[in-house]
Amino acid sequence: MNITDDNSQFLNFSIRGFYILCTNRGTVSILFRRILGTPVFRKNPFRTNIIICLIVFILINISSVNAQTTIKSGWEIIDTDFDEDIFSVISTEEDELWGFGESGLIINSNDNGNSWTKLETIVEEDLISSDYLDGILLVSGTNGTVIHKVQDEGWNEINIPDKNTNIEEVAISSADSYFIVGSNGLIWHYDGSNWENKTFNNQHNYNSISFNDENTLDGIIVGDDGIILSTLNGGINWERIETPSLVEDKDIISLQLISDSRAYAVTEEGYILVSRGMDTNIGFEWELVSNELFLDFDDGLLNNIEVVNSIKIIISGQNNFIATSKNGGNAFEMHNLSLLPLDNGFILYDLVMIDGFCGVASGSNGTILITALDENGYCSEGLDQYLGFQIEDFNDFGQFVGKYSGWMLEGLIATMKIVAFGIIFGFLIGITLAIFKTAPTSLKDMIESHLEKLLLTTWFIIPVSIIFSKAGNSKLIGILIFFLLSLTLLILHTIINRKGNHSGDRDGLLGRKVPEQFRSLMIRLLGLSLLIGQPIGEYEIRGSLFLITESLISFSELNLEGIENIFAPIGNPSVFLDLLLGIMILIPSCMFILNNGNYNEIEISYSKNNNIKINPWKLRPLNSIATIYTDIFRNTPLIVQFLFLHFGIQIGRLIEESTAEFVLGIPILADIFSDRIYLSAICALAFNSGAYQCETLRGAIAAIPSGQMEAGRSIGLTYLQTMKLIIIPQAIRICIPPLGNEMVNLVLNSSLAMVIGYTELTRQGKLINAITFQITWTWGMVMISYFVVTWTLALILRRIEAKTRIPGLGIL
Amino acid sequence: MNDEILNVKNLSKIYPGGVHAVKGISFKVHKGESVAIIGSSGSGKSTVLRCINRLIEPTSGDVILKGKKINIPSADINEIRSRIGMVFQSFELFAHLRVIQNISLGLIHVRGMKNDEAEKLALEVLQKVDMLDRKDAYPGNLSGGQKQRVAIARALAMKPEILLFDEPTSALDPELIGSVLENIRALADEGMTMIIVTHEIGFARDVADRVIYMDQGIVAEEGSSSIIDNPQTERMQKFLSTWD
Repeated sequence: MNITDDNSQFLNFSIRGFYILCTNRGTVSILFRRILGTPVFRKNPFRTNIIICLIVFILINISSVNAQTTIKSGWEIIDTDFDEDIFSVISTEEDELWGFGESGLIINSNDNGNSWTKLETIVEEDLISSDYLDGILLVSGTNGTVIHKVQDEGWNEINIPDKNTNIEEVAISSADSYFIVGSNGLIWHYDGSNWENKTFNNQHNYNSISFNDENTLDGIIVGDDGIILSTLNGGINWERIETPSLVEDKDIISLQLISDSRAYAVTEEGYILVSRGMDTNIGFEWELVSNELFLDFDDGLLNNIEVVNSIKIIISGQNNFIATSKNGGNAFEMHNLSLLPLDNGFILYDLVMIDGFCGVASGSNGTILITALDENGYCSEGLDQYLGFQIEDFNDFGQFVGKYSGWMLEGLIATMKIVAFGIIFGFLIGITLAIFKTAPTSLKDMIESHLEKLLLTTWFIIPVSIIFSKAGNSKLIGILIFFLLSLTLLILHTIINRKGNHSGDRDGLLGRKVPEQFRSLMIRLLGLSLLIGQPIGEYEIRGSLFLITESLISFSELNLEGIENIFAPIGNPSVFLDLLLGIMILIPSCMFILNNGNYNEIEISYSKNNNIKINPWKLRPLNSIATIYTDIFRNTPLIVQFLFLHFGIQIGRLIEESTAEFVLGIPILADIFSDRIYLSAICALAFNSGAYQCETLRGAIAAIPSGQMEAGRSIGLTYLQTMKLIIIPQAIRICIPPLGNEMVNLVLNSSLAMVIGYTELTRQGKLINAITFQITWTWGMVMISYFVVTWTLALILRRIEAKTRIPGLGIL
Repeated sequence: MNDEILNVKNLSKIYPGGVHAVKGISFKVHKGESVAIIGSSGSGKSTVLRCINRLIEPTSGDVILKGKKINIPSADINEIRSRIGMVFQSFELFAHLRVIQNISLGLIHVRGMKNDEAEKLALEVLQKVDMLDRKDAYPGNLSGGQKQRVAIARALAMKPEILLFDEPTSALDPELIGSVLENIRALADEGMTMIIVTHEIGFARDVADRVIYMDQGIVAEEGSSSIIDNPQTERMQKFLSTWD
């Protein structure tokens, strides 16, 4: 693996690039001039440049020193007194190990594989496959040979009548029900006394069969050309299951069911399939653990998968290949058997784990490998060192760092990737919300200056889009038409107003306005149509009244009682959105209906001498939206947001699917938009950070004297222009320290992305820890890495703060 | 009546808290006229000024600029404001922009001028207020008087039809007032239409063509600048006596 070298190169380039960016006046000042209004970076003095260059040069050269590691294999060879090939090994519940091989070889071991006894042979044929269930041992061989051993009885032959059958694997379904699969669709069933040929399709070769040990009726068969069969009734009927498209033409070579809820299969090339019995029974839905092959496994093919539990998976294959995954097949660590004194022609045939820590592997010429045992000949259970896999012996810390700094760097880059986008999107969300929150746009302003636009939207754009979406039977068409129409009108509106040479009115639509005497009437009609909806031909647009009543009825059908109703939004999200929309329309529509041309406050008397005056026209819709958003994201834990966004609403998948057509063929974008976990992680971080950044920015905006707004407006700038040109640039300068704080928080919070399986720094640390068991070293390195990132960020922010300081604004 | 620039009719403002700041005042401003509004604190002077360019929405009454009513919803307030210059008591320069940028900002973003065009105009206006040598300074590095002169320049650059001064010298040290007043006087001599809310009675007398004395939200006395020397009403006499 050349990860380390590649990454130090990458580090090299990125540090240089970053340095050039920071010291180059052009690039960054353009960037900041956009946000802050003035150039901020001045050229460094020449001497400082040289010193910084030197430090960076030294750092790069130190960091790329690569130490060699001593690697010891976790497997050892057992001396045996036989030299037949051992094709199959199996462990029983009585801590016995059995091996079967060439010319009817049967061996067993009672001490975890430390010593083996050769038993008397019963048959002459090669024994190639075995299975064990509840005291029954079943072994099959060439030429239709099948032998079995029930409880403590001896071995009995139960050969298949057809001598020419080519058996691939046997499986025990229950005490008197055995299955055999083989090439050309061969399925034989033994019912305790007789064999019956159950072949129903002879087009495909079957490679492996497995039954669920807990629920013995569930079984799966896999074979060439991506074939998977599944049964729910102990093999009476088999159903062909659809396979993921990537493995449709691949040969699935091995299969293992580990419980009611999970089964794994592997193709010759190394694609790993998993079936999780959640919505359906186990075996009926399959997906790939990863779309990519886990290793560059180009010489030789796999032949076996051994699943210890749902996270620990071992695969083995030709050319002495053994690899272990400790994260459910996402990443594999290869075991280097070449360290062992094995013959050149050694072939690994089978591998079985007694428990999570002890295993036995069998191969050609009577070779048996076992995992390291302690001095008493037992697997040292609980000591992960004796996992039986490649153990690395680090002579010193330098070796450890040399080997794993690449991993760290990979994690660090992944962290930086989500952090960078998280900061950018978070800031955009934050600043938008902050403007929303401080916007003085009340309901009155909205209706006064945008009446014409609102009328056109409700009476033309929305109905047209709805008609199109219903006619085309696709929501997307409707949304597309809505945006298309709105955009066209907006552009036309802008052009006409620009031509108007400022003597015309900026409000209204396309230079036209509803005459003063009709305004009140139009507002009332608008309110009415929002309240009760509009019938359009055969379609109908539901108004807020219908939306609210319909959704309330739907909620009552959820059968929630009392306080349980707070979970109703999750019970029926689309209806909840309807309800929200209904309420959001209800208030303005009522107000519009009551409009009489002046926007007075309403006086409500609730007792004799107490009146409250409220003015609903002062309601600020934008502010409400921003408040709801920040309330949701600031009052829930980030880790739950990660889980909910990624697994709950699968935001990554939604983005991937909706953008798939647009980014197709664009190299970098296609990569970014196909990584669901990455997208989800960015979204969760940005959404959360946006809510906090919004509050920070809002505070800063509030700190700008109101006179600045007045001054901006008095020279004729619009509200948004004043915000953009005067208020925000000053506000950002004020809130650089708290914003910096928020960004540092975002970097640290990014470690939570590991809960959705994003391989960032912390998760990488966990993986390194699981492989090396160097707990202090690993987590220490992770900590230092985080510190370096956030500290650098803080330094940059400090620098920006100093550079953007304006004389006369704020105390030093 | 062709030269009538501003007509304020029966303007009144009640603040949300119930404070009746302006109780129906009316006056007219003609082209080239400078009108001084004097009165004690809290008499509603600043409110009137802010109502004129709708920084504060008047509760009732009309504001008519060049024959066009401007306090109606359909009026394009941004366009109107760009024609009404305003100078604030506390300067309100944009602290993050240099002097020259302060002035050219409105020209670029409201008038839609090109950068160099705007800069040229800004330099002209700066020359007028004698601030050309500080064009690249930040407002924070200017003295109070200089700030106010830049603020005047900023308002002037928009070539307003009427210029509103909201107590332009109240925040200044006595020795700095002179230069600012000098600038305003020069503008008046050039024939700029102005409304000046001020506490500088002497200045009002010298510069203003007309003086409006406001007390408790109404116009208590109105007339040519000579009324400062010969106040007719008792209230104004009392007010003026505190200034001597």
